[in-house]
Amino acid sequence: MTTDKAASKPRILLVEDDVLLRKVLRLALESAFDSVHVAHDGNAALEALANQHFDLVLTDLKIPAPDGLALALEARRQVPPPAVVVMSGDAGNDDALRIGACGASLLSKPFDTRELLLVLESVLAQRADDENAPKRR
Amino acid sequence: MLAFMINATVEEVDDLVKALRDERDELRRTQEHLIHAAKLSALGQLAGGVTHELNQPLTAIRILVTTAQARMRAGHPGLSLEELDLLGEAAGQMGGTVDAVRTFARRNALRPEPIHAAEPLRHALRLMQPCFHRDEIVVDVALADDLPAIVADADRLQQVMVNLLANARDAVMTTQRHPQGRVSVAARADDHDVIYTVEDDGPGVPHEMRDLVFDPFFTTKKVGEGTGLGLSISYGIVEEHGGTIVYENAEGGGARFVVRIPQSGPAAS
Repeated sequence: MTTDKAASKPRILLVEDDVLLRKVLRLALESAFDSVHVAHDGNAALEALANQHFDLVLTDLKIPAPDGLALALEARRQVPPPAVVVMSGDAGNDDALRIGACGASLLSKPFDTRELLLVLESVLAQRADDENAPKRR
Repeated sequence: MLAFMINATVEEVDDLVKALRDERDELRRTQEHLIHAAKLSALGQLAGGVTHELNQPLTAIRILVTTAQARMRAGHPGLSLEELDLLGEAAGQMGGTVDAVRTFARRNALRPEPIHAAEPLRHALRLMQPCFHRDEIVVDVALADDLPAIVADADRLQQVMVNLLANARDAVMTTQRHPQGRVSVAARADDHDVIYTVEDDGPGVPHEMRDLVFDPFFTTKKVGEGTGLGLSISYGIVEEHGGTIVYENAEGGGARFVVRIPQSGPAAS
């Protein structure tokens, strides 16, 4: 892909139930990141989250239950919380607001590799800033 | 009427028969117009589902193309064979969606003719076999030896079978079971109908959604990894033949679709 593998080796969880898109996204992510774990639905993703720590969760909005929004909420409860990016081709205003309220970012389909990696790098950088910021007592 | 028939001349009877024929033809034309109008109305509401079905492969294509561009600008080879296969698959999916919409909107009169009852299923299996093989899905086929000839539109019935097989394949692919997933198809006949069944060991349809599976506006990614229109199109085709299509729970929680087509053709139903 277009970027060097990230020096910090972020661990990525990809959640997508569309077989074709899952394969393509996995190839794209594996070209940019060292550690990519793949889940095909919400339950498999929750199981992965319970057993491993991830720096970033990239999930489709409409996945078999729990959906991407519920998964985003669950992921953001982890300590430290991973960055979450929710992909959708038809998210309405309400969906976009809910995604933002969960502390996640919306990535609208269709997107290309450059847009995908820009968004992922941006949310990973934001997450690093948040972790390094002095904690309020 | 009887008194009229007794006293009528041959010419009057001929006129009456002609008038009845004209009326029947007019009714058929009106029915076709109504069906077409309903389809066009449905298409407007289908836009959301079609957008989703096109967006998935379009995203895959955009990712693969921009990846190839970046690699080639850096002096590397573009895409691997695996990636090119995925590109072809994505283009095929988009084509399938466009074809399904076109078929849905098409205004064609039914063309029933005598065919062997196994023919639509055999042809559909031939079309789908490469997909099942690639995805390592086992297909059990049980065609009764005494399947009769039926009067049906072979192309349209084949379309129904392809839709049901593709639906079964998509359902199996959403589970952890593939590549051990299984699809079972069967055809048998009773005194009046030929009965086709297509069954999968996928997750089935949730109870609260079962009444909606043939609704053209109903889409869930789990059911409709194909076009999302296949079941509603199939419903319309089976109805045109005077038959029925129903959803049942398969043992083990998967989906089973049962299609009954009258052996004597649409006019007799």
